[in-house]
Amino acid sequence: MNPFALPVHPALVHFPVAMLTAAWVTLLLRYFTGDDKWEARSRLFETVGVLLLPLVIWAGFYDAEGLDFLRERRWDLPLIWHFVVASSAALTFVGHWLWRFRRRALTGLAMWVDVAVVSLGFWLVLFAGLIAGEMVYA
Amino acid sequence: MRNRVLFGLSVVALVVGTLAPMALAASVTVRAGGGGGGGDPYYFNDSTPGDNKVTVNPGDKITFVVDDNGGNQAHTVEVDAFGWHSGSLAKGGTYTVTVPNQPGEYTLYCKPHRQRGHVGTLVVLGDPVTTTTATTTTTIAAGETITTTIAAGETTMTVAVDTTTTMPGNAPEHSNAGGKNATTTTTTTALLAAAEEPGSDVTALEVDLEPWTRSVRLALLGLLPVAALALAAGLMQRRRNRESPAEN
Repeated sequence: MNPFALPVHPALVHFPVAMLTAAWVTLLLRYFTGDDKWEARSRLFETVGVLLLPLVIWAGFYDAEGLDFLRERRWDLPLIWHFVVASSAALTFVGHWLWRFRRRALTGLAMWVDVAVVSLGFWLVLFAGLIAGEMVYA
Repeated sequence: MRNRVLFGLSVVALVVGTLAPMALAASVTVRAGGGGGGGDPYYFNDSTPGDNKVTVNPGDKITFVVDDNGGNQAHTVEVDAFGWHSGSLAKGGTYTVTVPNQPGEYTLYCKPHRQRGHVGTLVVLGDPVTTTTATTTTTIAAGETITTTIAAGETTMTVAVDTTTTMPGNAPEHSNAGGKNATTTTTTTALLAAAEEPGSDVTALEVDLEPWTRSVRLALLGLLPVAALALAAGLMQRRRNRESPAEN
């Protein structure tokens, strides 16, 4: 499964991060330009990102095998906070992705919710990455 | 003749007395490793493996031997209390140190794998640290400076004019820059070295909170541009909606 004896999560996580970041950027472009093509692109990026999430989450648990940071609830470890923040980001994007299937025109409050939720998800991805950086480089 | 014999015996006694402690000091091998692709548990194993405890006597020479490459990052050997920092050790790498005369329990860890549990306990056997306190009072004349010499193993607490200052481990100067005589009180304590409290949970992972503060600060900083962009996009769309409600 892992012939190089290297962690898999750091290698794989960049794919959903890139896709979900692109989803946020293209959603903003949709609202900046008013062009619906950006909406379709945003949904495509978000779909790919969300579909990659299960594999990446599994890889995270695979790499952390033996640490029992959840069972022991080691709140003093950055790892558990990375997990909490990254999971929140994943749930945010998954929830938004499911909500988008409604396909109704986004005006008024729905529009604000749309842009706010995706922005929140992107920010949580950023935060999770910062914590991961502390784990590796600190 | 007799004097020569006595002199010779004295020399022998001196040599034996000097070498004996060194001869009593043992060489200890500690194997370190773990991690890797298979998720093997991390360890520091001396002659009694499995408990992640390394028990030594003062003066012992410890040779840490690394058994594997440690997965994506090679292992290190760290004991902050003694300033032991081996640097990166690949498979087969060794790191040799001599245990100082500081009985107590210390945290032994591998820096890149510390967060993953590569932590052990270094136990230095010996009598517990004792402290004795004696108080002397010294009067410093105006303009006079007194330098206190601290004997080996001793430290001096100095008391400046009307205040108390603790400076363990230093050779302090008592200086009276005022215009009148001042009185200082020095307390001499017998102290070995700063050691961790006996019985403390030395196997607990020590967390430096500073990185957390840094991450949170950066994340909050990042929130500003993200929120600003989101707000701008929403406002533009809202304006468009108002101008052309049918199209949007």
